[in-house]
Amino acid sequence: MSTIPSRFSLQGKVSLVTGGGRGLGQGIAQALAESGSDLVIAARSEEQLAQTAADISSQTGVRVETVVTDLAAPGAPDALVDEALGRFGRLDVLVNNAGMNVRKPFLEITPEEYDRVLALNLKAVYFTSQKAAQEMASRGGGKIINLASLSSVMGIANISAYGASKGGVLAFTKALAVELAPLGITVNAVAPGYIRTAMTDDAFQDQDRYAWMVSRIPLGRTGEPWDIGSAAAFLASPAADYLTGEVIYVDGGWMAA
Amino acid sequence: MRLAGKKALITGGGAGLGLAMAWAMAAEGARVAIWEYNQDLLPTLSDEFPLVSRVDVSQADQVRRAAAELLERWGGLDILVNNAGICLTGSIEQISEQDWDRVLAVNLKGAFLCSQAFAKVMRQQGAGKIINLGSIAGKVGGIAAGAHYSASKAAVMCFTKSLARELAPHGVNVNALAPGVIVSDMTKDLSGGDFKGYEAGIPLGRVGSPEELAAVAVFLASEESSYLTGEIIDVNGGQFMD
Repeated sequence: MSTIPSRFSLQGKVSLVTGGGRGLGQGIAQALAESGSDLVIAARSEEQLAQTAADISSQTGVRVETVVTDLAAPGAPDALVDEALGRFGRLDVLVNNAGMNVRKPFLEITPEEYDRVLALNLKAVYFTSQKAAQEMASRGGGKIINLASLSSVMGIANISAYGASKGGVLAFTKALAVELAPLGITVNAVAPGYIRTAMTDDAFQDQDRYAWMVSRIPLGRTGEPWDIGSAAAFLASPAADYLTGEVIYVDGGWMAA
Repeated sequence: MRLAGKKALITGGGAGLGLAMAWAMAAEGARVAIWEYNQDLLPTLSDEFPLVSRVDVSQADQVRRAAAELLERWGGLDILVNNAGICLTGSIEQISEQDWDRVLAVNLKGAFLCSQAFAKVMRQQGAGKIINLGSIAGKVGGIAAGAHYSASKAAVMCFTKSLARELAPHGVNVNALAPGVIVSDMTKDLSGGDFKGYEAGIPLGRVGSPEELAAVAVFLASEESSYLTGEIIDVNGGQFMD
């Protein structure tokens, strides 16, 4: 019988984090490494990946591999999972974190912008999960963690394409959970509230908007990538073995308020 | 040792999920107090945990007395798990007023009385974790349990959100677990001892263990979940997804 402390350990596991070079992905990669997981982090920027990999491995001692890729490109999801398997020979945890936003009124969104957002936020998540699931199934199990959002369930102005994609991620998480359960794979999601990262920086610059945001958050502060990382590390661990199709809102109480 | 130096109280901690959570938190370094209604369990518990009291959480005078004793001995409380609860069956025509009142009194009023007893000290500490026990029954209207049980658990989950909003400015996180079918005396009574009937409806194909539920409680009790409040975490093997 495993004891409680080891239920949170990711020792001996390999995790793949997309968009792992900065922001939430970096926070998630860091948390997984602190729990003992080796890592493959993937992103478009080689420089950011190299820096993040160096920081994490020096702090935690785990092995961190990097893969430069644009997940929206055709064939990129399959190629990434193959590359990750090539480096480590196994894949235990997939965190589909890579995402983008186009912050603009709905009436002004172009078909090209819509396609870009959906391609990275939903389609790439779908096919990276598919490839990873095939590998995980052959080894008897694994964990897939998606990034949902407050906008998965709440209407937020000026991010309609993002919201649509994140609503899709939420539904997809549950559908996948049901289908992959017999294969020993759990599928869950973290739904961040307002977290300070490069993606949200411009929204946070607006003083009035920022003040309004914080006033609506029961805990009275925006979150940090570490908050999301901790929740992802929990979902990746044996402590979350009986959770599937679950979305954990890490939002300072926003949804309750 | 995620809970090193923390003081935790588990109500209904003498058996089942409560006892599993007590062990799990103690294993992570917490000092664990137990409030338990069943007198027969107390002697063994007293050997294993530093503070054990016989308390009926539906009785305000007992809750206040026991809380005063705990605070006198420990000076504060970091983690409160409102786990004490009972489950009764019965159709709408079978449920007596007495049964209704008893279920609501233990499951809902108990969580209220215990939260109230420690809210002030947690506010003063500027920190605290309250973990309530909701249930899948409170979301789907119950599986084998009576409507009184389901209603009480739905109310606990809403109470969780209200309390979360109220105590957030004071640094107190209030969250809940919503277990599905977890092995315990309570669910053995409900299922007639045979869990096979449930398995078909659970994507993971099995009922959960108390240790699995306890691990999620440890997550909610630790620093790692400090940006979660008003959140309900389902631990149900995918039996219900919302």
